[in-house]
Amino acid sequence: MTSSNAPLRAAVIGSGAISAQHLGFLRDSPRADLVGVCDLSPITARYAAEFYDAKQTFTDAAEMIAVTRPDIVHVLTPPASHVGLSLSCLDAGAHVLVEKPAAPTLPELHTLLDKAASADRQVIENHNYRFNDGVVALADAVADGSLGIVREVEIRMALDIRSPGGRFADENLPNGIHKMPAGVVHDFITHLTYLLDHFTPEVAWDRIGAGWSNHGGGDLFTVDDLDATLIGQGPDGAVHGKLRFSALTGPEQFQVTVRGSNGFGVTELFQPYVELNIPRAGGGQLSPIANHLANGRIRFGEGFRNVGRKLMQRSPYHGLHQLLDETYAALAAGRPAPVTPAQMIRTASIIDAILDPEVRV
Amino acid sequence: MSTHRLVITGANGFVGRYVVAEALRRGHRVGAVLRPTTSEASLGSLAGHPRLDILRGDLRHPKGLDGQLAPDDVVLHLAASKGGDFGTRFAGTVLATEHLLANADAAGVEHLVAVSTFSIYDQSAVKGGSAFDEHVPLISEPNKRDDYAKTKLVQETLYREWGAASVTTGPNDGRKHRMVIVRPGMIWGREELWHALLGSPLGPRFLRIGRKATLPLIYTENVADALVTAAEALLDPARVATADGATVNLVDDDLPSQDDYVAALAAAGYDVPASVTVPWPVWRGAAEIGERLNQTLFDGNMKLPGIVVPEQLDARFKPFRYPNEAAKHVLGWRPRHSFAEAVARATSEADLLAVDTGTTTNA
Repeated sequence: MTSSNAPLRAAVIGSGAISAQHLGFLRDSPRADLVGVCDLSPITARYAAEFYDAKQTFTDAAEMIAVTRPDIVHVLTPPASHVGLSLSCLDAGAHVLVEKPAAPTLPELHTLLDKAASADRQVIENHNYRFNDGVVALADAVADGSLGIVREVEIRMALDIRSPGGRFADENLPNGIHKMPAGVVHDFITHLTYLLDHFTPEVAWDRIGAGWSNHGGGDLFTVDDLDATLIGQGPDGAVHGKLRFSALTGPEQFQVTVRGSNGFGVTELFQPYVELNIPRAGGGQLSPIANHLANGRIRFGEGFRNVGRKLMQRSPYHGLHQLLDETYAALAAGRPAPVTPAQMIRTASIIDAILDPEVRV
Repeated sequence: MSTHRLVITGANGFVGRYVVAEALRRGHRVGAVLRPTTSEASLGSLAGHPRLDILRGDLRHPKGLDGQLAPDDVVLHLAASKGGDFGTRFAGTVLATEHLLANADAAGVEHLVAVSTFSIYDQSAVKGGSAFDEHVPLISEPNKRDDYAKTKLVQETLYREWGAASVTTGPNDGRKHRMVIVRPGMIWGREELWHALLGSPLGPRFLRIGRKATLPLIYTENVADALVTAAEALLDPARVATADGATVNLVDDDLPSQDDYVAALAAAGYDVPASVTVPWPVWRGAAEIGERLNQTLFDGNMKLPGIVVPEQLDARFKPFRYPNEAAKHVLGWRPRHSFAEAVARATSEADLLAVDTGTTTNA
């Protein structure tokens, strides 16, 4: 086994679109040694290896694991293959960092996590947006009491997934995600749910209503819209959660709103900014004015900073790099990774709950 | 009697339809590759021709054309992705080519006309004003070029590997693959008269960059003629030795300057967009300053729009001379239509895809 001072031997299965974010970290981080890349397409594996300085390429995952003996494997294949490949990696003694969703259902996630526990390995589902600056800022505002007791959390994502030419709307080569329980929304529901959980980890959701719709119609999409409301009890009383995915509204956004007993905070993850509407110096009557001024200044400045972020290629995936860095540091030190089995189980539990036909509205 | 069929990928595309038409005109049997949901009507007046087979498949799938190719087919690979993000382009160009060649191998196909592009050349490595031919080096730093160039560069790697290998199954087993790589310049025609070598949209107007540079153009009907001629060269015992393994650029004979091109379109009644014109040296110089600042202040990490990236500008606007002797020698091809004729045809109402439906063939 690798000592804590040496980089972890890392391997990647699947060189599709999201792999660029993982491979970029693995190429650049001193914590990682990219020993292999595997893809069913030889040219895709070769391209990834050449671009990201991987030592070897493979078209067979089992062969790659046997030859390279990685400490950790990134499973970046389509969701339906996550469990099988992850179990194989655990069998070979490797930790697994798997794209979301780690498993299509809660029971399958338990199978995966039980296997990891028995093998003394860790499975880490990609919860990258937990680590984005805006989410961290809101978490800080909760932690320092600025927002008071968290009473409502709304996660809203709007994506133009139905436009012709997009990867989900391709009738010629239908995306496998449409066969997942939540259809195309399953590609995003993990993000929405772990962010809800991020601000409500101790809430037991006991009243749930979920509207799953196919507003755009047709046979390819089974679902293109989610409107879920969750009401639960936390240690300090009632909490409301709202999960919203829309394919019909614009512009594209990924907004997190946390409302507390003292104030509320909002962050946008695609075009980043953070607003806090909280008690300000000057008291109750002056606080709204002070919030307007403070948030106006923030929005003005973020407009320019977002141009800079775009030019400097600081994408909404910057949280993934932070997650990977913390994960690699933890694994090297023998500590729990920053995304825990408990978080993954709560996330999958919420997804299973809102998929329950009994709660559909 | 030949039994060769010309199988054309991207058959309903901007260029593909002209290639199908030209192949049919010359009496070939044609296999037109269409995606599963693409209507045959997208082939226009070519649909239903008695020598036209429709092959259904999406080349992004490993089995896109599995079982539909025959050992004696000559594959003309035109399909490529010209839009979308890198992943989309990679799938539509690189994966599609990998899968096509694997399907061809499974069928024991021997012949390939591989369509590449001028975009994979490193225009920055050549002195402006010089002759731009097949000896110009290819891109050495793909990250400085756009996604189209990057993916086409990888595609050509696949072509070359296939061209160096041999057939491993069927009646052609053991024969070395026969392949010619063609690199067309900017293809223009009725469907795409205004193109990227003139400039870029700039709000409500069009930013024209440069006026005097010779445009490396090839007219759609001329490129279709060249591609079918290339297929025939691979089948011709007298020409195959010259064509096999060759790489040729495709440009027309009488190439206009940027100004001449725009003037010709305007004279033919084309509604030329309102434009602002910036001299090439001025724009290129400004981009160079921007690049140096990027390198100095940001270690080159700032990603600027392609219209201000020196290497991408050179690929579009740097002036060169464009000989086409290699194509003429290797393929035995001559551009059929002069620039003036091409403008007249492209801006006319004539059915450029018209094909006699008679059953006379060369097959």
